[in-house]
Amino acid sequence: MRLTALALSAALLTPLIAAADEDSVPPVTDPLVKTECGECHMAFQSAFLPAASWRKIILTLDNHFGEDASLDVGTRDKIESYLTANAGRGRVDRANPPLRITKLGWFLSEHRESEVKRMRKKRSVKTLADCATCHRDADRGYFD
Amino acid sequence: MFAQGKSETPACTTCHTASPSKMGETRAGKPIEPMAVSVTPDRYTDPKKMAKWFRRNCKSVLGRECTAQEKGDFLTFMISQ
Repeated sequence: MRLTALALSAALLTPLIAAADEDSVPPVTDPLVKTECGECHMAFQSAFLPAASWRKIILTLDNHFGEDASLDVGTRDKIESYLTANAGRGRVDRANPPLRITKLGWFLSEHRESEVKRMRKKRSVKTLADCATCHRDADRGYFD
Repeated sequence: MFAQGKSETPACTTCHTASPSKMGETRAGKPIEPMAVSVTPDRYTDPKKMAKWFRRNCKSVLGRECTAQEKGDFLTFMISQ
């Protein structure tokens, strides 16, 4: 299926999808993570990034892609545990882990520039971080 | 007062729009309930939630925490809207 494109891409990281269903990415199940990480954007599936990336994101929440997304220590630690336990696997430069899902090799392969331009115009998509505008069931893990 | 925070969020209106009774939108495209109590009556009822958002948004927009006075003024205004 389209997911084979993930394996073939010259990506730094391919998310290893733990689910038995090839067409879906395990959605966030932890209610705290879903709530806190879903207030400003969809709670991105933890398999999309490796543990090193999640750790760095959690460490830098006071400057989270241009905004303060800081959390109290208890909440932060719980969220970090969940994300790192359910993270994607694969090679990663731990000193410089990727932070933007939308810049990962597999993501770019799935979202070719010409197609993206066309879709963004058609659906008035503000940002590629807004999965759900095109992928209606993204929060449940379906991206077809 | 402004322009001390992050360049991505120069003002409250960046996400909340210029009207307290209108829906806002995050930079990632997620809808935000209106700030006005007349439209969103339960908006300022959870102290923990309020503390979190004041901390984050004041830092993002102003580059610092809001004072108690400022938070009070903001709430007073939103309650009147």
